[in-house]
Amino acid sequence: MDQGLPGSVVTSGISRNIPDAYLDPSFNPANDRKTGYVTKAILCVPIRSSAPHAVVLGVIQLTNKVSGSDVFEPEDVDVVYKFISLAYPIIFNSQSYSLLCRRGQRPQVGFRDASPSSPLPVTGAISATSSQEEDD
Amino acid sequence: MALHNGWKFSQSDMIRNRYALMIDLIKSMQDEAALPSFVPSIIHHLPKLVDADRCAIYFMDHSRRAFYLMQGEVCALDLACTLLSPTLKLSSCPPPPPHASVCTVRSGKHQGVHGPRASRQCGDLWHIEKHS
Repeated sequence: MDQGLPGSVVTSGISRNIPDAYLDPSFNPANDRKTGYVTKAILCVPIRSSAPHAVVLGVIQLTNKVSGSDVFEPEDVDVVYKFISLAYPIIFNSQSYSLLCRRGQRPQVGFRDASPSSPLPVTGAISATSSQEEDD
Repeated sequence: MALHNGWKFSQSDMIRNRYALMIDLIKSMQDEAALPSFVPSIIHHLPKLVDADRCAIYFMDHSRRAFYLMQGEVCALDLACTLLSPTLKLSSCPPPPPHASVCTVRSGKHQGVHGPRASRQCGDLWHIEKHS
């Protein structure tokens, strides 16, 4: 896991903005040789919150800037960080949901079912309100 | 002054469009509970935010200390393994979860691989990649 560019970003928890991937020792050019694609600039950002001991959920890797200069600017890094700050709780909740489903503990509150046809789970609070209304 | 104002306007318009796209992406992610549902939309829309050519997302499996990826339009298992670890053997990878749907990329041609065959090749390191 510690090998390669995503591995180094996960281990350090710090994003990397590489102008030329072939000059970076952690870049593995095997993919380029197989596909014929030429990688130049890479922006690799960890998916983590700003909390000091936050768990790194993964890595987002963006390859080759297509407009302006060929390298990713600090503004691009800022945009990706803003996206991750918004997306982190969603990804975290989604992974927790998947984990609970795999363990057979189907979550009843706070999650909507993954299948679009299934209705929202009825929570205890909603059930209690409904029964009160029926009583009235 | 007029040129400067015009440049400022175009810059602010570009930034506004960027953040509008980001908000739309976050909204679409919030509508889904399962990771495979919104990962393709991240891969499709995120490169537009920074004018990147490609986007790849690796997710961590902390229990196995490995990367994985759920599902996507193009998953390159063998490429992911070599990318993350050049010495990794495909046969040594544990099988993917039952809901995993993966495919390999060989000689530039996509070959769909599902279920048991994918399990034999590699399951722990999935790499999703899409051209923007």
